[in-house]
Amino acid sequence: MTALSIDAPLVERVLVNFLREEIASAGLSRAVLGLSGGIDSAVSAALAARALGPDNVLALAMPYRASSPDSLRDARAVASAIGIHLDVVEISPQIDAYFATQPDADSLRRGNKMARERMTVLYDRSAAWQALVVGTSNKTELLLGYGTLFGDMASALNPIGDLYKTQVFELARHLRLPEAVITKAPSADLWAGQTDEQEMGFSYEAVDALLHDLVERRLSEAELLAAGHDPAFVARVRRMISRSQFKRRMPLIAKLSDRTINADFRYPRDWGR
Amino acid sequence: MQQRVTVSLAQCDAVLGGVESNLQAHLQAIERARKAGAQLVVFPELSLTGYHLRDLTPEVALAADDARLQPLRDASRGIDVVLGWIEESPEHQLFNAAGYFSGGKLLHVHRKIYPVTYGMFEESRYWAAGDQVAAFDTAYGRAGLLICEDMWHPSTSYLLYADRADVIITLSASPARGIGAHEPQGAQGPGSSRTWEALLRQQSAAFNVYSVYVNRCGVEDGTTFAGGSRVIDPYGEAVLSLDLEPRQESAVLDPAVLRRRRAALPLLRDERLDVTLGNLERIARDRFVY
Repeated sequence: MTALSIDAPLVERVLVNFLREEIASAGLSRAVLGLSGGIDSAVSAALAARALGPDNVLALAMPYRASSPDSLRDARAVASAIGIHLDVVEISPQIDAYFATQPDADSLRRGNKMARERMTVLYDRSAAWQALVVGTSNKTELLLGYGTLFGDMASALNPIGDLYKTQVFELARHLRLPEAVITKAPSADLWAGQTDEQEMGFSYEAVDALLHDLVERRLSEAELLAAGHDPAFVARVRRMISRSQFKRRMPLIAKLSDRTINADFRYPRDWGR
Repeated sequence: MQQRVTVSLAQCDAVLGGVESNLQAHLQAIERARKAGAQLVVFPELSLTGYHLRDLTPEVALAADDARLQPLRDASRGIDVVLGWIEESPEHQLFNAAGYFSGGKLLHVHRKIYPVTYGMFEESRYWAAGDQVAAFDTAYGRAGLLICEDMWHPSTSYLLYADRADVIITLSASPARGIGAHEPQGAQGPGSSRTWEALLRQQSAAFNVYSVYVNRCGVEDGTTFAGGSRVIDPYGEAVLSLDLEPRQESAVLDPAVLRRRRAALPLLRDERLDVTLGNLERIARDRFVY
């Protein structure tokens, strides 16, 4: 057991009830989400299926032609394990059509465009099916800014955004998700053979331990070093968090009136429900 | 305490800003309590309005004598009713208030002394703070009301104890927080609920009172309220404990238990109000420049 170990049955109860009640308070009973074949979306999907019933959850796999075939295979395994319907929507035609005019785009631009393309498909299908888009971003990637703004970070509600990646793994084991999804290396699947940990240059275990000390326990710099965290690593992670703050907030609105939205026009999100 | 009383804990959800539908739900719960033989029914903090009101606060506020509260005054004939709402004072100050209705009247109002304004809470932005902690007489004995954060300041419990309360009723809208797996064997629920249980046991044991605690459940703006409503006897032992889900259950508060406890442990007899008062005056003189 580590400092990050969770009471998984309690977390499941809270999150299942969160999805059921917040979707009901929007006057809806269905959810749509992207199923990547990774652990985060598998956990979100399993929670949504338990909250709403498997028939009320639609999963979309949205591969690009260069996506790993393993991703689609794992997404199918998850959908079948939790009994939800999986639609496969190829995004290659629209991505290729766009980048035909942008031949110099690097892999980051291409990856972001794909993430945003998937977002528009999810929102379109959610409107067609009168469902809400359920988010799949965990707390580690939200804090580090390891996600595409208005892409995979977009959703109506997110059950796992307050769970670190290693906690998502623990919840996945409790939810008895397919072993292949739990054991494989996390990947954004932006190019062949990519893994998150390779790209970021540190392990989720190490960064979660640091984030827990930094964010949850509010340790000072001296305390972090005394706890054995590498100073260069601490500095890098601090920078990643502060530089990505914009991704965790609504766009800035230039203040002019006495009642600027969000600054002094402050209603609950569940207003009128 | 003079009489046995059966208290019904109405651990419920609320529609945010939906006073009319919440009021109907109150009337139904009062009826259920009556049928279950209760003489007292307690609802959570802001049960009539919902909790995360923010700019909705002035839109749902009602004066204590507002005609819209009449169905609740009427429902309090034959059963006492404690509920929470936003009270607008004659000066148009808005308070997070708990009302004790009895015999068709609003018998007592407690205004939250400590609106919480740190971390996830921003209550002082929207609500004025109350400044009176007073016990009052009911048909069964002497009662006092507190709202949520008030109870984290033991001075409020102490004042009700000094004011000879037999029963301290705390209304709350406490969010479920704390999901760590490091709790002692057999511990139940989120960390925040276990802290509440410890506070309630401490209050009952230290002040020899019955503690009645009713917390919200349901979800508002992503926050899950933790339920965990409880009745704790004057020995600090749980008489009734509810879980996370909506639930209405009853427990008996027994004057014989309170009498036995106070006879064996005469804390109230020995309490030195003069010492407390004198020292508080000295401390206040030392700490503050008026």
